[in-house]
Amino acid sequence: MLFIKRTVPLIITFVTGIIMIIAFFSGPALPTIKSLEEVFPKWIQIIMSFTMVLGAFSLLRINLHKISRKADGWGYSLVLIIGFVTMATLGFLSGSWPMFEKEVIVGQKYYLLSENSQSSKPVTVSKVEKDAEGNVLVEVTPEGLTTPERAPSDRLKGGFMNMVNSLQQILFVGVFKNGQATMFSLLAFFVASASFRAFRVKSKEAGLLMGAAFIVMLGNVPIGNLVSKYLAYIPFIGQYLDIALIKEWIMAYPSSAAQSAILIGAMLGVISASMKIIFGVERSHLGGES
Amino acid sequence: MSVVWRPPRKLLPFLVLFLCMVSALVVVAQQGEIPAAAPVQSSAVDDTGMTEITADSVEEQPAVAPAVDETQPVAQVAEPAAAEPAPAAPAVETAPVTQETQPAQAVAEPAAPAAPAESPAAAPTAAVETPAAPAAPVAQAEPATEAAKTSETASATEPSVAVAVAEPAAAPAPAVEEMYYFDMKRANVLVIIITLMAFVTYYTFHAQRGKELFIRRISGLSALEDAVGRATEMGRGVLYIPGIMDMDDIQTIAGVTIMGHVAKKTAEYDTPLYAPMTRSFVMSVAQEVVKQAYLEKGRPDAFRPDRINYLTDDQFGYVAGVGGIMMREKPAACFYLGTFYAESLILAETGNAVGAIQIAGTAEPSQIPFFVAACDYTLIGEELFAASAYLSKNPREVGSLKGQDMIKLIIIVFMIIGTLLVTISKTEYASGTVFVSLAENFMRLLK
Repeated sequence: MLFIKRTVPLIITFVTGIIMIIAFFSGPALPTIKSLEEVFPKWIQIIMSFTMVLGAFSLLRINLHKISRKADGWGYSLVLIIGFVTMATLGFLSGSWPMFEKEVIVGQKYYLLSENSQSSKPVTVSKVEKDAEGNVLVEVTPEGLTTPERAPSDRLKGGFMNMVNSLQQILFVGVFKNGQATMFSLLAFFVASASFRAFRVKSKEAGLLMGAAFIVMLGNVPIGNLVSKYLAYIPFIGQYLDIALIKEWIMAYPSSAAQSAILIGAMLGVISASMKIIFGVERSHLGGES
Repeated sequence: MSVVWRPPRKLLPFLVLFLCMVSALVVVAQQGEIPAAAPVQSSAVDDTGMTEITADSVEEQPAVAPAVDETQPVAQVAEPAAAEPAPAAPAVETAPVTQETQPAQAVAEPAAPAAPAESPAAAPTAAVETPAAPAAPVAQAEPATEAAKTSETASATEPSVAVAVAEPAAAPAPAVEEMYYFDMKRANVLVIIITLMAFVTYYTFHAQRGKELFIRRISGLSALEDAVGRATEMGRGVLYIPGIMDMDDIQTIAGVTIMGHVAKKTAEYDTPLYAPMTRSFVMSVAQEVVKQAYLEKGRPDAFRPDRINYLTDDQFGYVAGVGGIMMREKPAACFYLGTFYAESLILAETGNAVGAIQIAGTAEPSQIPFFVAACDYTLIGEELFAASAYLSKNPREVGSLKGQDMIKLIIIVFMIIGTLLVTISKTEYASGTVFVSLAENFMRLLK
């Protein structure tokens, strides 16, 4: 068991790591090895897609267990399970409907989806034809209108599938995307509260941070130019007190230098950590002592 | 009593390294060749190009030197194209001149091709002095190729001259590809890796023999135990987030590794450990790591796999989920160690709102300010990768950390030397001295 859990992953890591290193340094004279540089990341994507099943299973198991035990906050788990099942069902149905697609019948009523699939309108099919590339096109007449229009046949849906699509769009665009936007918007308030705490001048470093941040903020807003205009009246040093220029200098030199330093250190750390993992020095991520 | 000064033995390897570096630079400056780019350059270009930017030539022909220097990159690019039909040295050498002077020809008079032909060696000089002269080597080099015939024919008619000269340089472009086994453009990475490995091996060997290696104090990691202790005293849990990326991200691996150390502490103090995950693969690995930590501390019964659970792959959905857990469970200590993006501040501020002591760490430069502003301790960049060695005190890991520090020291030395060389070479006092070529070659060597 230990061989499967430790030794095999270590061997795989070592072999894969060495191959990737060789692929990284190899030239065009070794096309097979060189191509592995592009092929291996694709393998990662394939493996990762399998883990979705693992995630879904874990999510369902833990939350169903909570509901069955009536544990604290089981109501949240119930909402999660309902949302999960509903969204998954609608998504599967909506995405896989072409598999059950029947032939379009002329004269029958359908629903024509808009190009972004977010709305639909009832139409009557008047003609079915194929274009030069073999795509099936339909000529439809919207209800209440007389002018026909042409559209690809895959935008036509029956009554049931139209309802499924509408529900899916309501949940995805109306709930999920708006929820995402809401969470992202919270960032604005958190930036304000974090800045307020960070700018309380308790030490010399905090004072420097405060000063630099103040100049950068002022340099990014139009009032900064106005301030610079008045500062220019100060004798001797006034001409140097251009807020926008000082901001540019802070961003281009001290800030950029500090970021480069962090990146250099981090990259060395990455190389070192990768080497430790490839050579099996660091193995605690395999569930054991390093 | 006489005092005999001896150089400290510890500094000897660095002294040797420094001397090697300086001697390599001098050799590079003298030969006028970049080792890393050697296979890309042809011998003809080497002979004519780089030798002319040495101090002697700069002193002798100050007006020509910059122009020759300018032709070098063009020569490197254009050389294989011209080399295919006629790999002989003169043909190779003339190609860059042809290419560089195209605009001049197009803009200047059509009379250019009529200029008297000169030897290829004289071409660069001519290129600088008169706009018409650069056409000379074109006329000489072209008979070897079919394109040359076009050029000759075209030279008879006035307007088509510039076009006829321009075409042959562009057409054989696909032939540029060379077959080589080792990508010399990446040689600098290999040098860094080999040097790093050498230092790591050296220090690991010393650490394993029982030598004490000094590691500077990292306050964020020193506070790790205090944070778990605080949570225990308050009767609340610990929240751990190893970033939002998958296991193919090295920061996630570092985060999971530190999680093992935190789990040992929570197992020891019997404190609940919550670890909501954004990737199911990471969840699976984290469960194994935490389980092992609880086993090692003799508390397998306290391990609760349902507390290391998967939430969602969606970034903001995950933040909402973690925020909910924080507000409900009110953890007394929060750890954010791994890759974070826009969610970093939302997480850190929510943690702050529930009164948790917070330790964060990431190598994402854009997120570090947010963590610094909102958390009690922040591991910046490489400190995240050093955490495992710092906490485990394992000689092999400590050795690797020390080796990493040494490489950093070398990089700092290189940066200082480079800055000084470039600064000196830009001053008026340095013009015409060896500093100019030394600075140029130093920068090329680094690139």
